[in-house]
Formats: sequence, structure tokens, C-alpha cells
Amino acid sequence: MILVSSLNVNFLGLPRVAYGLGQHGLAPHAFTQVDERGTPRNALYFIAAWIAALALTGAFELLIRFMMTVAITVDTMVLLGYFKLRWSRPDLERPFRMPGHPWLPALTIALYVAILAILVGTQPELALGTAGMLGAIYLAGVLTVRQKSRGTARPPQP
Amino acid sequence: MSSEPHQLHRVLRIRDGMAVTVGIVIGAGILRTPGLIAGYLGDAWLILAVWVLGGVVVALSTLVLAEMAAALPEAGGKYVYARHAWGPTWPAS
Repeated sequence: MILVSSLNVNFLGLPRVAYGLGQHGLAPHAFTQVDERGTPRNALYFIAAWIAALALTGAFELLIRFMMTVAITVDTMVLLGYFKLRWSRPDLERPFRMPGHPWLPALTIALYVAILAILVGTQPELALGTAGMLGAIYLAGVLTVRQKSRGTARPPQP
Repeated sequence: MSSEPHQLHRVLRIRDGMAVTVGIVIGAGILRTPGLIAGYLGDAWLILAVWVLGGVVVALSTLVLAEMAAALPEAGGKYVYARHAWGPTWPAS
């Protein structure tokens, strides 16, 4: 039951992340194609293939530990974005506001940083692998965006 | 017949959102991780304390994400909030 629930969430959420990345040119444009039923089918197939490939490795415990390190790192960055948005976009319409601002969000980030510090301190090899993977993804993203902006800045050919 | 590209449908309701959130929070890790953590900790009260602390962390981060999700209702999940906050290539931009 839990496996079905978890798979369902991943099949629902992850293709839409790929869809969002594709919309901004950070993933193949094919991921933005949506079928008549509203499903980003190409992104779904890609995510499903990745999940199947990782499941076939059988390294469940290592994958969970690796995934948690990546997730905590990325989530810390996203949570820091909360303060950045409050500062840079104070006019943004916020139908829901985090209670206890700024102390509770600051406590949340402090807890994430503490968890990250424990992960790095207790599993340095895993942390190094995570840093390498995130660094490679970041570099690929920077190169993609620069290439894209050079392409749009080029004057039209006569 | 329309040649407009298809769009994602805004069809999720509150109960769908709750179901997705429960699925994310519990996840597949619940099958293996608690046993591993309990093995490392050993003490029953310490194990319970870590469970409570985990609940607090999840509840707080969910509230922070809820503010950004309500303010930026776009497809893409956390990527959308990070992009709006930091731009496409921060800090290299």
C-alpha cells in the first residue's frame, strides 16, 4: 500500500518538475509535451524508466541515504529562498503566510542545516558523492542557460 | 479541430493535495529507514524523540513550502520556488 502510494506521488510530481524544467529550457523540450488527457507523457516515461533502473540496482539502502542527502541539501536551498522571496518580492500576493515569521522559518532552516551537518559528519563519502553530483548538475544548468541566452541574443540573419 | 498544444489540467482538489502530501511525507523510506535508525540509536526513548523531532521538522518545512506554493501556483514543484528566489543560475548569474 505504501509502495503504491509512494510510486503514485512520484509519478504525479516528478514528471511535472521535468515539465517545469523543460519549459525554462533546462531540460529537453520534449518534456513539455502534454497529451490530450493533460499528462506530460514524455516526462512520465523518462521518470518511470529512471525509477525502474534504480529499482533494478537493488541498492535500496544506499539509494535512500543518497536521496536523503540530496533532498536535504536541495530543500535547504529552497527554504532559504523563502527569506529571499520575502525580501525581494514583498508585494507578491501570499494567500497563505507562514506563522511565526521570521523565527519559525529560521528555526526550520537551522534544523535542516543541523541535519545536513550530521549527514556530512557521519557519512563523508556519501556527502562527497552528493556534492559531486549536485555540482555536475549545477554546471550543466549554468552552461545550458548561457548557451540559451547566447542563442536568443544573436541578431537575426538577413 | 484545434491545433492548440495541450495543457496540464488544474483538477486537483484539497483531498488530492492531502493524499499527495501524505504520500510524500511517508514515502517508501518508511519500510526500511526506521529500522536502520533504531539500530543506530538503541534506546527506545531516543527513538521516539527522533520520531517527534522528525515530525516537527516536516510540519515546519511544510508550512514554509505552503506559503511559496500558494504564492507561486505553477507546475514544477520546488524548482519553481528556487527559480523565483534565486534565478536560473545563482550564484553564477
